[in-house]
Amino acid sequence: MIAHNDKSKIAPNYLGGLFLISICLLASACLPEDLLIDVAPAQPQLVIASQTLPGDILLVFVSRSFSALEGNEDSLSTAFAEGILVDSALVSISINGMIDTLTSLEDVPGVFVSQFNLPIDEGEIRLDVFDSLTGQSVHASTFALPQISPDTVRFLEDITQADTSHWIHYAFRDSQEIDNWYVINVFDPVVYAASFQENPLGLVGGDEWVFYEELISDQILTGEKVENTVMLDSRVLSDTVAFFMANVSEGYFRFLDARQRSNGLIASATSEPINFPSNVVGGLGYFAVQRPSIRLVPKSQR
Amino acid sequence: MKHLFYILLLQCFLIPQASICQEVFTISGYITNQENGEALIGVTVFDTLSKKGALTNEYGFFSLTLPKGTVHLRVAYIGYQGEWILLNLTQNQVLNQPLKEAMIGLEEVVLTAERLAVEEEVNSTQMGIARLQPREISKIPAIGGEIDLIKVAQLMPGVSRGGEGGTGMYVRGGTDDQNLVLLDEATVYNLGHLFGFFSVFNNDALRDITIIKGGFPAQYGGRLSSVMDVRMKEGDLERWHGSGGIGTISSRLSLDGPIIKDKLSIMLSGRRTYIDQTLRLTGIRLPYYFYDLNAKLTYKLSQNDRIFLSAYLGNDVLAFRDVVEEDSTNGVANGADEIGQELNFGFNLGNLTTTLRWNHIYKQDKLFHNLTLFQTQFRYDVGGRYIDNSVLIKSRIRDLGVKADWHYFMNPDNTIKFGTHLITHQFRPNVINTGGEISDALASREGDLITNQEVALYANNDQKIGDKLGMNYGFRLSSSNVEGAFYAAFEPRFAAKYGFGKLNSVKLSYTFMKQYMHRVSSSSIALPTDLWYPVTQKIRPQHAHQLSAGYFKGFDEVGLNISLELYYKQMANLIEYKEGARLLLNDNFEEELLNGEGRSFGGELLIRKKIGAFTGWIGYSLAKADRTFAGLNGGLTYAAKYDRRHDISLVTTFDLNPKFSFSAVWVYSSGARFTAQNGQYFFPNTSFTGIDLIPIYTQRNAVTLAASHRFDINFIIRNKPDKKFQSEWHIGAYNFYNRASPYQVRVEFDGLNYRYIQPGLFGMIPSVAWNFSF
Repeated sequence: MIAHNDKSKIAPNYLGGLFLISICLLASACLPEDLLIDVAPAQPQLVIASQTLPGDILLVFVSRSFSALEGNEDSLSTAFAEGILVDSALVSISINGMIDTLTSLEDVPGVFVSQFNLPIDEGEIRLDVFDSLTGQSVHASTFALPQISPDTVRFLEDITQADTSHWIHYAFRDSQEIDNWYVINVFDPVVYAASFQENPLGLVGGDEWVFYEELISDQILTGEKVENTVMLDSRVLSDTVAFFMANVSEGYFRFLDARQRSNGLIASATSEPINFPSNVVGGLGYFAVQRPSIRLVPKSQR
Repeated sequence: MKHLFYILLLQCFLIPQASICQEVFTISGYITNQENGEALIGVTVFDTLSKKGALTNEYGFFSLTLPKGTVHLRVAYIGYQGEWILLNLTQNQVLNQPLKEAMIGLEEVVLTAERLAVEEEVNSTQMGIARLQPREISKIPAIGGEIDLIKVAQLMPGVSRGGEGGTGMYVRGGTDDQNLVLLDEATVYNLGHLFGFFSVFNNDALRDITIIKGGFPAQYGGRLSSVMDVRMKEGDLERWHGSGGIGTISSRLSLDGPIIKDKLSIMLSGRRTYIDQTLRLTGIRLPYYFYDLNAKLTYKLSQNDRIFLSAYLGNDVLAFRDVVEEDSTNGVANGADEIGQELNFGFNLGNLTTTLRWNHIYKQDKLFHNLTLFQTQFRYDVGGRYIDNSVLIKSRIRDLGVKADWHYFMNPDNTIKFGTHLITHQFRPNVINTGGEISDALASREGDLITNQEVALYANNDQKIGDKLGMNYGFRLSSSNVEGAFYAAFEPRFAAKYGFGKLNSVKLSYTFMKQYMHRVSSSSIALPTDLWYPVTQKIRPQHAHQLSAGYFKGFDEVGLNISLELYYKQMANLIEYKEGARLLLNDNFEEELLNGEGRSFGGELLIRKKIGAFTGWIGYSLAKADRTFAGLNGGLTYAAKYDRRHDISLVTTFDLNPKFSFSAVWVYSSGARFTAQNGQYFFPNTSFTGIDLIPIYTQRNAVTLAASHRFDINFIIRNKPDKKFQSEWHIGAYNFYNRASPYQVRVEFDGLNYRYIQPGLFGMIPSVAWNFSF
């Protein structure tokens, strides 16, 4: 009698469990094959980036866009990068009728440098690029912006019983007469230098030496003096950081803002598109002429 | 348009004078289900001598004023045995008529009712409407055997689903937040459980479902694209009943019966999933479940007064808890301090609605009044705790409202509805409570409490002019008051029908709709981060003009209705978020939104058979929907995300005999739209110390995803269908031929190249459920 009762209690649980497992197995065994989506790859286009060196020497980077559907992670190697950097281009800058044909750097393909100090404050700066290999040509125009440097920059270390944190404090003056847009970037110059020596193109490894990045539109600033103290990324190792600040054009600011937004959580989660603005006619990227201010700031206690 | 409206309004007040000379009396009352006393909606009460008739309203009440003398009434309703009633009408008369549910196989008995229903659909001025009943829904195959009202609604032409398996509804090119979903008059904001894979409606607790896609009557407003009016069951005033079921995903139990016989009844219904328990058997830990509770009290105060108190509570709960263990291989624990520490993560989100209604019939028996007080709340809490750090993010929307509606059954040719609605919305998005070091980076905040009031006045007349012409015309004056902004609108509504030949009609309708709140969502699936947000100074109300025209044909001998409807909808002030918008934890996300325009047009064919052992429908939609936003896609017009060109649904149920039924569904949908990244380039970072990869996208929504189609089957085996205690087995399979039902887009590396793929969410899913009723 007891044995019979025990059996009656166990059997339904056993059968129920078996039944559920069978269903799960059956369902998982039936996972269908994925469906393919036909997406045509983007056609290669010329990409422009630029930087101003002390003495108003212009660097122009020329590369090609490439399909997002070809290759794999290994392809983002130096060899691959060299393939997409355009050293077959004819690059020229013109300001008020003065034309400077930029020369290609031998060691670094795709980088072109102006040959003499251009009067970049004297009017519109036009860039023309012609790629003799593909026959593609692009052009872009911009204006040079005055350099704005920080009045104060401090790199602070805050040691508590619980942990250690690092902060950057900066202050600068914003012109009240014109609209300005600023870029601030704090990076580890030691790690960057080491990485640059190893891999001058810097394609692999990204920007792990960057601790902080901020885009500031003076439309949200209320006074002339801009002052801020912000905590840096917890990876800070060096005793010195590099503080980079540039006064940029509104268009370039929007380009950088799009870049920052594309790294956001929502953008990643939803895969919604972010189209990057460009002032390059017929191509991609951004032609900007700004004069950055770079300071090396040693650590001090908060 | 305004002149036409005033003429029609004037006519509305003049026409009654014509009938004053005749001696007339009114027959009025409730038509109910004999089994459980529930009021039946849309029952035809038709005098075969005078050829005049009426329909019961959404509360089951009808009123029919006829000349003195003999009256031969047919009372008929789909799925019920019709009644013939002979009366000598010499005074106003109350007729509370119960109808008996038709048994499967008794075709001849129900044929009259079905024929009347076929006629009504052709002769009504209303277009773009679908009425569903829970017992019809319960036969249709469902995922995991989980009967789902929304999934059935998605099978109607013009209702496009969002992601596969989800409860999203995109009606005639609109968006998911443009659907007004009412449960006993209270708005339901969140329709989905389990990220939208199951709807919040427990079929056992429902009585009637009406879906309107166009030609909206004036009593409905506040959304642009559709109305889904869901009514909960009422408890039987005479006897106790029960029903329930055990399925692979959840179990249900419902009870209803009298607390005071013929005076006060109660209905209670509950459902809870055991996905967590089921998966535990396979070794998978998913501490997730959802549940629903429905309750309704019905109090018959007098012959002319009824009071209803109903409530719905539904929640999704994820309560993940783990203890960090030392694991040197994957670095789970970063230090000794973390070992043994608890990691908690979870969310709790759901709806709560409460409705108190009073139905009153005035003495002339021609005027029916409904007063509704309601509150509805949708909230979500998402939080986590690790070591000493904790984060809890909360959002709330709460409505408090009152609706006063009057239905004046002036005469058989004119039914006037008028009323006023007042709703106060309270929004409190993004309340954050943080503790520990994380509060340095993410400070606690109360969030802004935003309040706005929506007020509406409406009136419309459903008028028959002779045998052939019918019109339904009216207006809705709507307004919304929010801090710093006041919006008001005059919303004309017009529908007309012209009948010809045997059961043929053409119909035309025009509606103007305003919407004063929006859902800010970053995804096609229901996420806890979806926020409802009111109009503000900056976010203007959406509005839509919709013009529809259709041809309707009925075949009463076989119970078949065919309709072909064409529509054109123009929408303005639609909401999209900017590219790369930051919505999460953003108090100022207004700045991240854009206003734009939308347009949709298409045609819908519906062939629906309601009589006999073999019932079902064939639906086909051909549609196009696009959007134009100055800040998106370079200002160029682009396809809406769920611009599915073709949608086909074949739904069939075959009752072989009282013991055995078979049902099947085949659906086909063109692929939704997608913006793919198809290129990229390198660009220096801000300090020129590194290089980023910048994506290149196709034009917005330029890629059409793979079409989806599937075949579902369900067998129903009933045990003792003629006994009081009945039970039935549902054995079925969803996606029977195992086609991938695409629900997301993924990029995959195949060894040489990357490619976009759409993995199937479900393969073939078998299901077994056992249901019972007594």
